[in-house]
Amino acid sequence: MSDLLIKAEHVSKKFCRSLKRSLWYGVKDVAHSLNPWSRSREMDGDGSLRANVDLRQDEFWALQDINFEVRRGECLGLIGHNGAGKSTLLKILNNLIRPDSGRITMRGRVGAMIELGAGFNPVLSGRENIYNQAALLGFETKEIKKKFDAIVDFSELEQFLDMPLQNYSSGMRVKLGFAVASQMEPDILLLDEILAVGDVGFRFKCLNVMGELQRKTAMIFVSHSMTQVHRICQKVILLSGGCVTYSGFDVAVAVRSYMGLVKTTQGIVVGSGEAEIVDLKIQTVCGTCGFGKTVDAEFGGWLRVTARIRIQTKQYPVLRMEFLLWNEDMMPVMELMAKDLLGYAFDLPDSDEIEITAFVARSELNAGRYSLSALITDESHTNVLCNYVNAAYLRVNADGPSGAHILSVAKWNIETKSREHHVVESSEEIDANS
Amino acid sequence: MSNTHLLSSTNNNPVADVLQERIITPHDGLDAFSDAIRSVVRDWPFTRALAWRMFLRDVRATYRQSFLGYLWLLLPALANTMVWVFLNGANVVNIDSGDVPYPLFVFTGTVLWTAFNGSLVGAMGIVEEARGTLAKVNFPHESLVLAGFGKSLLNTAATAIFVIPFLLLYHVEFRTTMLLFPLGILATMLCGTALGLIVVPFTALFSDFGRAIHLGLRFGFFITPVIFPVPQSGWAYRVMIVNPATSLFVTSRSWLVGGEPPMYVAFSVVTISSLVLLLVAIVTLKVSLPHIIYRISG
Repeated sequence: MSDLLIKAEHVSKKFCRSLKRSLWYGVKDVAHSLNPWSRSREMDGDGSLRANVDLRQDEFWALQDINFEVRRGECLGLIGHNGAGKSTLLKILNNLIRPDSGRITMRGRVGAMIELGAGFNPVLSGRENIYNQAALLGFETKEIKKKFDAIVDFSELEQFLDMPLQNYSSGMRVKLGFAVASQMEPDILLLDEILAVGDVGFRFKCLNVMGELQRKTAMIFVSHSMTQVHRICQKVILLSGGCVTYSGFDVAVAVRSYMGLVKTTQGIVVGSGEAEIVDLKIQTVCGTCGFGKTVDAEFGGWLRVTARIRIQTKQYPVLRMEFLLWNEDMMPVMELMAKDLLGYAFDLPDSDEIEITAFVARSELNAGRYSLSALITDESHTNVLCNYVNAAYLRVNADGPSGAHILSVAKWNIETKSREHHVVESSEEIDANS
Repeated sequence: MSNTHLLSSTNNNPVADVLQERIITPHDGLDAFSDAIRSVVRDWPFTRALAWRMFLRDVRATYRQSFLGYLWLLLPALANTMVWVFLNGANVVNIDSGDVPYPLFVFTGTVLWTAFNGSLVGAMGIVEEARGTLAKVNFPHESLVLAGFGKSLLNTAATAIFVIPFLLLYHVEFRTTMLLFPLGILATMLCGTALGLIVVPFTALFSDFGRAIHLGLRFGFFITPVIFPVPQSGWAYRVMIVNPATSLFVTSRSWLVGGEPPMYVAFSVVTISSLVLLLVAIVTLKVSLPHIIYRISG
């Protein structure tokens, strides 16, 4: 069992809504903390001090009774909506602010990647800022000199080093900041949504660095990108309104709960308007739903989408229709198409309204909430006659801890090999139609 | 409590390394004070190196964007002196500086006032200046105090160096006490820093405190013997004697150019009190900053 590096017990923190009152409470807190004989504290059962357990006027709990542990080699994901208290918790862990009650034990050197550009001076060059930033993060001067080339290499900004920082784009600044911070060798690493900016290549590099660091550190990772959370974290805490609503090793469940807190958005219709979707329904094993509503579905079950449409133009002889399913990260995860992998083609109808149905015998979508959009275009997909986004919702229930969008049940085979054979005989079959 | 940088940095054998443990609680009172003092001592090498970096960074950044650059350090003091010399010469004001030629008297006073005012205002402003970094990076905050002191020292030194041409101009004979003048400047800066720092926990939260002090300083200029010597009697005399800066100014100036007799006792008392006050102020700052950071940036 690797060593326990972070332990948080009953951590709470209050926040005041009104600025003036908050500043006044600040004055009172400062005065209280400066009184060497302040004895108005109560002691908790476990010996940690409890302070200010009552809420004063305009105050609410930004964090309430947070408990968790992280060991070396583990990464704890901290997810929740904006304002749930994640950054506050990270600031307390980073020793920037004090909790109002509770106790946190941190063992080892603490490194934080919270805002990579803090401490950057825009007038000075990239080179000078590397020295400043490294010094701020705790490197000694000779350490910085030794690591300087590695930092510049990683940042890919060698030709811009002597340019003043105000001329760097925000992505470049993140690259520089991360390049410096990645040279830290901490025992505990705190990461706060630092990869929101930066090109894909760089983000990939960063995830690799974090993967390397993960083996030697206890990490806490705050992010809104569920893909990254799935990739890096073994355990996760879901914060909602300052309270822990999920804490455990099932990252997929936590992510789904987080997504589940999102309210459904209204349907939007875009396109030229030459076609109109009058009615739409989704049918599954579990039931049916209409416009704007949600229907449950099972993994592996069938799916039928029916749309009643009205074409108001005679311009196009052939039209195409397709349905898309989007996940909560707004990524298109599945598209219902015809055999030619283009939208279902149909001739311009004579009558007013027609009904088009798409049937999928076995849906391999993993658990989650998906929104359906219906798209009508001309034959070449150039003109969009109607695109109804968020037309209806599908909630798939599946057991299983996977975070992937699509689950495929494959056919597996195992063979024992003796050591004398060097030629690998491959005899696995994958049945694509199973 | 802050990071220790004296830990072995090899993570190859983590079990063998003894890991420093940091416990974070809402602790206040004596706990907080003793923690603060311990961390100041423990982090000193790092604090010093960081303060030097911050100092270099801020000075370079300020003067990189200007053409005259570092010349701007000197010009305000010269300009100030010229105003008072003119006013006195034109008999708009009538100041008797005794044996000391008036321009020299004023320039010396201005140098000392730059030292005092500069360090006081500089110390008051450290939280506002570092607002962004304070809420994001964990570093020993006393480095801000040290860097601020360094910047004030630079400003003062740039001005003070021109005392030499003034002395030569007025054919002032060399005397050994002149070598004590830098000590006088340091004592003045110590006093200014201590006074500026002790109010920071409150000025950082409500701007009223800071504004009131700035206003007070304008008035303070005239109850300190900067441009005129301490009067012999009257209410002005009583006020000036109470002002701690008075003894520092009078003593330093007398070391440099003679004139009024030095006030050794008061000088020593003020200097030692300033030192004590500074240490108290640093510890106070460390204890109160987490609360301030939370309120000004959440």
